[in-house]
Amino acid sequence: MDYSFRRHRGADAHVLGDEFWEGLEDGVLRVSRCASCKRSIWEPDYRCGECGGWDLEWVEVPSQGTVYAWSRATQDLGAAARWKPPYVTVQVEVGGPGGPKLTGVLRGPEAGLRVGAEVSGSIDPPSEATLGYPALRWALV
Amino acid sequence: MVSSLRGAAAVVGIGQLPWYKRGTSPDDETKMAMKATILAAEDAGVDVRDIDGFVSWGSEKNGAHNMMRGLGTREVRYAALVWTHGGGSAGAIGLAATAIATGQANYVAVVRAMAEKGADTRLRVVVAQGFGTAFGSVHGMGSPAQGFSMRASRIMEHDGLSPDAVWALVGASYLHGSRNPDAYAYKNDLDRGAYDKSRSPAEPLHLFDNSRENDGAVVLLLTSAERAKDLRQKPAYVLSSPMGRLGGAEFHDRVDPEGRTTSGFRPVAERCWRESGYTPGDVDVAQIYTNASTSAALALIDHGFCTWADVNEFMTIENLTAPGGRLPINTAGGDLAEGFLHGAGNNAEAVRQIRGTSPNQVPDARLSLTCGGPSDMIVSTTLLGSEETL
Repeated sequence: MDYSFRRHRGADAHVLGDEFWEGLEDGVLRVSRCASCKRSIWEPDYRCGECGGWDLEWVEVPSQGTVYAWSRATQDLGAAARWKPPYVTVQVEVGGPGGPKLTGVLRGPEAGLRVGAEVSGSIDPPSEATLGYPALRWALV
Repeated sequence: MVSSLRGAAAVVGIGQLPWYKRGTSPDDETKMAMKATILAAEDAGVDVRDIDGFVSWGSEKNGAHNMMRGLGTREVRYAALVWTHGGGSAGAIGLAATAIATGQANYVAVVRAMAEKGADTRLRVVVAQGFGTAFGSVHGMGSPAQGFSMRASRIMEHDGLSPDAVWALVGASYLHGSRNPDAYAYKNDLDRGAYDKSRSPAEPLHLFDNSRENDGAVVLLLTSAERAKDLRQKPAYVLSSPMGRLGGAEFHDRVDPEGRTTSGFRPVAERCWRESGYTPGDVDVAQIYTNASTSAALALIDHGFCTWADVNEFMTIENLTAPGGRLPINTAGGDLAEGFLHGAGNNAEAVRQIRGTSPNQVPDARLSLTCGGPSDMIVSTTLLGSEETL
């Protein structure tokens, strides 16, 4: 498949992050873990510091979780992607405490936004505003 | 274990240029660094040509290689940088002390200078380039202020730091800054109402919770304890100056064993107390690097100046201000109200407190702490002491 994000990779692309974006374009939320000992490694890294394995594998995770942290941008703060202020970016912990924290822009109403709130995820297809990348979105449930 | 570094070197010179609104310095930053180095040498009574070591931290670009010809340097024997961003500010003092204690250099300058004119080293830009990948930028993350506000939501809503405590740190910094003729916020005290009403670029933090970079230059000059005795100023001895961070956690997870957010200082501060032989309660005055108010509050906890159990009672303007507070902090105004040069101003103010020349002097201050970059990937802290603390 011809993935859009590959045609738009910028200097800030995470060198080990391609499978995450491929997943989103395929409509699947995937994160990295150690292929040997299966421990979570997020964000992706070259080596598992626990077992010494050099290989990552990518596994699907449920697109729901809890708000670990949030921030509301009230003006353009220099992000390369063009979200229209004000907008809220949330870090969402998936798979329970200690799980990967996945960043996305909040979709829908802000009522009830707080650390610990439950959210569910969806995926925006690649667009010019998001630099040709797909985008992970979270909505309060 | 008392380290062999303890008391081996001292800060003997301060060179500090006026603070400018970013982009308005008449000089470019290398020229500013050279001027501040000369001021530091004059302050100490040292021939600037005898400075043989140059150290700094983070994104600093004004090294020995750029200044030595103009300064007339006779020989460079030591040139090094502490990683990563502001977290190395206090550790750069330790780097200088290490070079002196091990005989690598005799006079080491800790250099920090920045002017937007003709430079591409703004911390905001460098930080964004350093750890902002597409995972963040595609999702609207564009500035350190957003990252700090993100963490602030966690620190306040999950960990339990009160908005009143956060305000106390900001208010104490501005109170001190408003009384410091050299501070960017001189005569410009901030009240709670203005703080609460201020426009915020990234909520839940307020505008005044964030440091904003200035053009400026600060140089400290260090030499051996033996040489320091014969120089012009009262020496501020380096008692301990560790850098580092606890391993094990995921890259973006900085969580203490109890599950609360940490600034990363805990093991570094523990080494500081062990190496110096002092405890948090012995410290007379502290300069707490304030990239954002909430991160600085964590630095107070992680150093042991207070705990999560009593932080909201400890952090009041009364407790945090000179001359009589329990722990006066940011006594020149700090990174919020004096001027922000990635912690350089804090280092100079920590020395002034030992000398007795602070604009908000703590009477008879003998133990003076400066720390760098809470929440940075590498952090550092330095305890300075007067001669009687050795």
